[in-house]
Amino acid sequence: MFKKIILKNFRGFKDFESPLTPITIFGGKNNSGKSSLLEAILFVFSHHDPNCFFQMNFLRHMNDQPLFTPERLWEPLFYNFDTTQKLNIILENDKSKNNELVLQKNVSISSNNESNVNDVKNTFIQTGTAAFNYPLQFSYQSENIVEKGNYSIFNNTVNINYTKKNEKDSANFKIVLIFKPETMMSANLLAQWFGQLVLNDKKELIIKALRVFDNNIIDVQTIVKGAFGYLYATFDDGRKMPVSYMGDGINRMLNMLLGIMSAPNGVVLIDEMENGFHYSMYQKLWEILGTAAIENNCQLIINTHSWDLLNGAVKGLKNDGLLDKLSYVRLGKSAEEIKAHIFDNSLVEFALKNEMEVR
Amino acid sequence: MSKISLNGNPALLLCEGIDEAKFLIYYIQYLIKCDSSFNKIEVLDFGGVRDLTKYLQILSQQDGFEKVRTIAIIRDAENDWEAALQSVENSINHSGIDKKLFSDRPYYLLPMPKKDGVWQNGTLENLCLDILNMNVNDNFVNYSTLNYSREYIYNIEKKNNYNLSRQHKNLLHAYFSATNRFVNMKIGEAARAQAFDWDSKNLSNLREFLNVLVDCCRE
Repeated sequence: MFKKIILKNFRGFKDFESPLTPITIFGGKNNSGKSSLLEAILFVFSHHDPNCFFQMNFLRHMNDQPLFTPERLWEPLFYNFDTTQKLNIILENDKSKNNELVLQKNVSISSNNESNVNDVKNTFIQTGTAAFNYPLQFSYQSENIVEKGNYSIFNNTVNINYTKKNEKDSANFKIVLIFKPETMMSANLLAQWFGQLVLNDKKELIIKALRVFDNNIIDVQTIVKGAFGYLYATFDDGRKMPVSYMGDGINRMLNMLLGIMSAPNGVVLIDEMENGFHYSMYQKLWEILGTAAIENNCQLIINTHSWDLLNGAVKGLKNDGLLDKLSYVRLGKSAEEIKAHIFDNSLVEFALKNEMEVR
Repeated sequence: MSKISLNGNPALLLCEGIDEAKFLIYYIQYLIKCDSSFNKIEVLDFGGVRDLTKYLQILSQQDGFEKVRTIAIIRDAENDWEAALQSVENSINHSGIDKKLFSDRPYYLLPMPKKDGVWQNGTLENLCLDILNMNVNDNFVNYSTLNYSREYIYNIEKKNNYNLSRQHKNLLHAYFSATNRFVNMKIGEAARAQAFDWDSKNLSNLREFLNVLVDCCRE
């Protein structure tokens, strides 16, 4: 598990540090950096895929715009859009080892080289923009891995060229999933996840969780139609219904739960966890997801604006004897910086009980 | 229901309990009429004395705390002012807040210090009774009612052959209950209803304490 995150020159974070616990909830006003913080964690573990830049733009609903320039793909990741300054994302684990990703504009490669000139000739990019195309150099280091290379944009794609790559097979592979309010995993993926849990004798946990939302559900099955798998709920009157036809809340819960249970020793990032749920469900939601996360050693990092969700977290986790796994961090933004204001579980509990505003 | 958050005032006055906070709020509202600089003070209720350390720790992490320039604490001395003093100092030391942020007079123990400046045992109720006892203006207190209330408490103790452990509280509320204006009121509500003479000499020490608090956040 990670116990600290450090961000330097990443999006709105000039120099930022925050502790992390098995379950960390981040709060703060709009534009305080909550979503960017989740993106940073995702980026560290998806940097090897050149599509990671599109992924991050997708999360910000930006993929309907022409994106094949450093201005659109790389510069928004840097503080003040300044790619000449090093961008650092460091995740320190509980063995005090770091996963560190560093990016910076590669100034040693000319922006007017031949391949870029050809790029202009062969693509729809307007003449004159070749001067604004440059590679982004990166380095990544973890306990077992040291990698270096460059990202480059060529012919409407992002390429990754390694100058140094880890040759050994590494067990340093971590599943990191992100859940935004509007995104749901595909029915097929959910069915795959569910299938694996059935093989691991975890089906009853899923049924128990669904029954919290609808206590008429008695079973869940995967049914394959064509080439695709779908999850079907069986009700006590014999009806069968695709779970995807049921409410947004139950589907969102199922997405998150299956994700957590399919990411042992991984990290699940949840943006605006409160969305889609009636406030009365928050405590039960936390009892389901919190227990699943701890049992699977899956670290939860969550954003919220909601007092009720925080309250639900304290009550739900306390009910399950897991309150010591929780911390809350308020991101406070001033003109100069974003700062972490840290509340351990006892302070969060006290603040909520005494109606002190901590969001 | 709105949550307790900071309003952006540079001086924070933390009080023990909602009643004490209300008493101070209405007193400060009176002081503002004499000197507008008292409107820099924001009064907050930190709850019970056992909660003060946690309250301070959370306070320092709240949105708006960066605008705070000075803090002071008021609580009852109760039956052991030395223990009360120790408790407040302990909370300040463990709050995580730079001590320089606290006022030059960082705390005040009710009812008030003695003439030699040493704190004494007691509570807010003692201060209220002192104000009522001293005041000569019949608009504020009916001496007969206050004396009868005192006799009533004395007779109760005598008839039942025991001493009330918080006689000052019993007396104050016996007085309130014997009036039309203040019956059924807590101290804070009674303060709002103008039960106390805010010009009382028994408040001079408290006023001075509040003056120091305001001075600490002057430009």
